Amino acid sequence: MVNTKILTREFDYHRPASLAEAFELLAEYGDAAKVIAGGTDVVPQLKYEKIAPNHLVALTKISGLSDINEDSDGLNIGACARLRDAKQACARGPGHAALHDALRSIGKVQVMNMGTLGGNLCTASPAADSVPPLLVLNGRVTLANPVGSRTLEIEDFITGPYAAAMAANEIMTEIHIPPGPEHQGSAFLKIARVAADISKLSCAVALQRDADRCVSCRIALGAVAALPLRIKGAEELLGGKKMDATLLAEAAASVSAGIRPISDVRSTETYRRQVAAVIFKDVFDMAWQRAGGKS
Amino acid sequence: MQKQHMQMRINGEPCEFWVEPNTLLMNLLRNEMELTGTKYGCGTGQCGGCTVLVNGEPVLSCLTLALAVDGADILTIEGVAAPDGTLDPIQEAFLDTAAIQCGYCTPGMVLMAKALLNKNPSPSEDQIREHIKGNLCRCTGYHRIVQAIKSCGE
Repeated sequence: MVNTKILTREFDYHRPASLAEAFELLAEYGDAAKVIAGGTDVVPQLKYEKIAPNHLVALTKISGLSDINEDSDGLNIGACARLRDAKQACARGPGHAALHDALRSIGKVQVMNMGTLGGNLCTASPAADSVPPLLVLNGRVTLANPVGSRTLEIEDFITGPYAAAMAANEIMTEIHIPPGPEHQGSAFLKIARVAADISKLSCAVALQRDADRCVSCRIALGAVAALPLRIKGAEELLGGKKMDATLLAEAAASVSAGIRPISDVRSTETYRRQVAAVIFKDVFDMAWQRAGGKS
Repeated sequence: MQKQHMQMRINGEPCEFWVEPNTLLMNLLRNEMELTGTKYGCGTGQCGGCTVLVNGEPVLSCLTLALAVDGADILTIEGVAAPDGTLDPIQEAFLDTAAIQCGYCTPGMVLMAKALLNKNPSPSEDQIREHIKGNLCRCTGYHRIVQAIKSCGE
């Protein structure tokens, strides 16, 4: 039994004032260092001894990392922006509806005040609610390193359960969502036992609609495989087609077949396959309505 | 593990500490300040019993490193009533509505109510339930807690 009342792990705590200073600390301590932002993932991991750093490098004092701005290139959310602030930013326009849905459902008020969008991504949980929406909205992340930065598609960033394509000398600085095409609608839903719980299954859809035709469509599911998945078979089935109930049912069957769920403490494989089809249809409908035109 | 200096304002009082980096805000409040109204429930961010307000916003003190709130303004349940002991209207409402049974979730619930009412003086029942969804009560039941908060609305 872990005593969750205290933190037994001993470490030094660093609060660099700039990215350059943070990189110096990461270079000096290497594998013994762990970056921390809101702490809602890192502190439980420390309590459960899933990680054992000798140094915590807190990003909270670095100015600019929690800025949020929107311009003609899209929405930029600083990696250390609180989930609460990221949610508010997504509420402003219809273009980020799926991410707004996801952030609304991600957790309790306290966690929204503490956790950061960058932290949710860097933890790279297969059930991370922010990932499926970013997959369908073509989200990208910027990873800074001591000599510059690089930008990765979300799809290339998450590489496995709790694994991300991030080197030890990199720090995520920004999440970018490009402006969607005209007549785009997007949505996200999740199944969880109670409010503010971890997802048993989540689904996001972004589609472009022309009257009764689905011009294109992106579908992603979370908590159904080692990492959040795009279901490209179902996307191709729907792209360019006139929508009707039969086609949607076919796509739902393809979603159900396309996931690779396991049975775990939160749900079973059978249940996840069955509910995936149902939830996908609901999410598709929400996105379809939001994309406007006649339904 | 090197101790670090930090300061906070706790229930209006300026305080200074030398803390070990693995000290949690919850334990600093309970052990150093003897403010035991802040409750340890699950320790993993599921129950909301350890909720305190940091700069007016509810956070989980069991998942917050003390050093992470250096310089912040902290409100615990002990700071909700006036210094002369006059209860806050929210506390009065919890008493009047009998929204307390064992009392373990009450500090968190009262602080959640305070944060909500500061922003939204007359929340709807749905808004109240959404706001306290991360605070578990295992005996009173949520109905009276929601009623109590609702009765404080303008």
